[in-house]
Amino acid sequence: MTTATTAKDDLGRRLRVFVTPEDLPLPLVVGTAGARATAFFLDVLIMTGVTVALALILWGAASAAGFAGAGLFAALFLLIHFLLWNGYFLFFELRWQGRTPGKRTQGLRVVSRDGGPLTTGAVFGRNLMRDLEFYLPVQALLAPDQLYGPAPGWALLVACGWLFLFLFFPLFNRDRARVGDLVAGTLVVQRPVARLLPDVAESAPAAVAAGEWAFAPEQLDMYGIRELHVLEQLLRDAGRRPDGLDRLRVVCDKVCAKIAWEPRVPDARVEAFLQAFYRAQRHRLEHRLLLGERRERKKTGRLPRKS
Amino acid sequence: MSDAIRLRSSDFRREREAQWVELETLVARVEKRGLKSLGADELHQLPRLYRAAVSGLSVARAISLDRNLLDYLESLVARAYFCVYGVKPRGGRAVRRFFAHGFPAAVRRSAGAVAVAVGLLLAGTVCGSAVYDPDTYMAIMPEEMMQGRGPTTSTADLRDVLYSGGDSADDELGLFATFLFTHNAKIGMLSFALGFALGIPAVLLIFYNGLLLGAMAGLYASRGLALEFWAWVLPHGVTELLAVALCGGAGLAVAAAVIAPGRHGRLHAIAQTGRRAALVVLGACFLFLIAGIIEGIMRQVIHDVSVRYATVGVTAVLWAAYFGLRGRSERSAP
Repeated sequence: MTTATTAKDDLGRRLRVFVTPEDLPLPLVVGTAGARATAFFLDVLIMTGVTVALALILWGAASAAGFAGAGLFAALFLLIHFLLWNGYFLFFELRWQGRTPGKRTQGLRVVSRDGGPLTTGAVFGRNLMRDLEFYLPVQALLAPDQLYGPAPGWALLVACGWLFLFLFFPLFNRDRARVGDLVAGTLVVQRPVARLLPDVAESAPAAVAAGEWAFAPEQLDMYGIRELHVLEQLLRDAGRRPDGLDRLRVVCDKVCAKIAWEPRVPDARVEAFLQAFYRAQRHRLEHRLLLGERRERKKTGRLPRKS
Repeated sequence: MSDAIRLRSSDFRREREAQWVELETLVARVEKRGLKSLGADELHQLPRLYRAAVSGLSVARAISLDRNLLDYLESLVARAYFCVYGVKPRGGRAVRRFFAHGFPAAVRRSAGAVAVAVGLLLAGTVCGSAVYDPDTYMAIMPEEMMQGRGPTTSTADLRDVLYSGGDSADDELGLFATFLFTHNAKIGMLSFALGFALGIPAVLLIFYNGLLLGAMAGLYASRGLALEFWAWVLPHGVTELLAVALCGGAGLAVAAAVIAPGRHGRLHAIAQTGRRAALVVLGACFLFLIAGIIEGIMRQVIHDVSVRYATVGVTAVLWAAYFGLRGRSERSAP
């Protein structure tokens, strides 16, 4: 139960509200640093693979030509290499609406922070910063001489620290934004995946519709929207989890105690009873909602038993 | 009894559900295979269904407490939103629009920062040539830039460099031009990126570029070859240095937004400037390409000093006219 709560809180922390041009606020979930790093790694892997394949093909062609005009092949390689490493992200993020092959596998997508469409300037801007954020730190690690020339040790250390500040920048802000995301005003979000499930209120057995149990308004006023949503989830999970029915029994007893329901509901009828309660509760709360009153939480205490 | 407990939210859902499912199938297809996979009819349906889902979500938020329904509609609207609003003109039309309007307009709106970058470049050049002496030259000039041109090189050899190229093999020249283009474009993109680091590295990079050019000019001037040196540099140099200044200016504009964001807050200012400055850099990359082509032609076929200077004049006037006149008519944002 604790893990479920933390997972939910984490999701809450990653929610960002995004306003569509219709003025409709939409919650979107920011991608995790791990998913983004994986996506980037996959993209780099693809680019490296293409580069190696390209080098082999051009080398083969050059050797077939007996290395006459080898300079031409080298120039071709240089040009395609440049276009690939600088144009890959630009091409896919413009073409696939903010997704690269790597991002696609992770269900990630670049969106504009202000809710507008993703512009060329934004896509180019966020990818220009990659030089500073990734390639320079990597170069600093692998070949420091090439980058700084003959510099004293302390200068090297300062420069490295400075570069790594950019590399790890996403870990220090809530949006997991790279420097490139700041410069372009973009956000990387997860693809929303909710499925439409059957309506719990409609899947209730016929007995419920016939009104086997009737609840009084004061009984229904004990609970709020939050509890209704928890009950909805419990009823959905009942058939799917091995301990689903046991959990329903526990919840049923708690509810009965709170709303002073008598007599005790038999084991076989627990699910039907809770479905009926859910339905009546939702009806009551939706009715209050229409009248402009949104009751979020349950009342404390219990309803006194009728003597 | 059953009437008393009839849920409006369930009725609402029953009424609209078919439309939502229809939208979901279309969206799933667009996500997988792109907008092209939709037929003309379906393409027509998409925005209509999207708007229906948007209004459905608004209504559901007001009347329904079915958690799954709300979650589903939120995710459906978000996915459909990306399909509907992600579409932009692309291909030839987008490119034409960029060069006819977006690029020059972005440059003009960053005119201040570009002017500062041009100033820095000129200051570097003047400093480099003014303080020229063999020791400083050797100290600041990297080996690969010298290409055998140093204070110890004979005047005749120095002169030869300015007119060589015609006799070297074609493919060697192609390689050199490509290397130059990619190298310059990378430096240009880096100076944009460095703008975020408060612009100091960008300022140094621009100034240093000017310094190198000035030092080389100083070397040639000390042998009385100044006129011929500039005739060698400037035909492509006008375009190339302009592109360097554009990239540097873009970096400085971002730096200015970081330091002094103005009324709307730093995050907003950086994003606004960053997008515009990125367009400037994108255009500047094409300037580097053009400079590379001009350099290739000049080296190979045009050795006459007066023709070289004529090219300088023509390119300068063309760029001034392009950035001064294009992209004014359309007021809408690029």
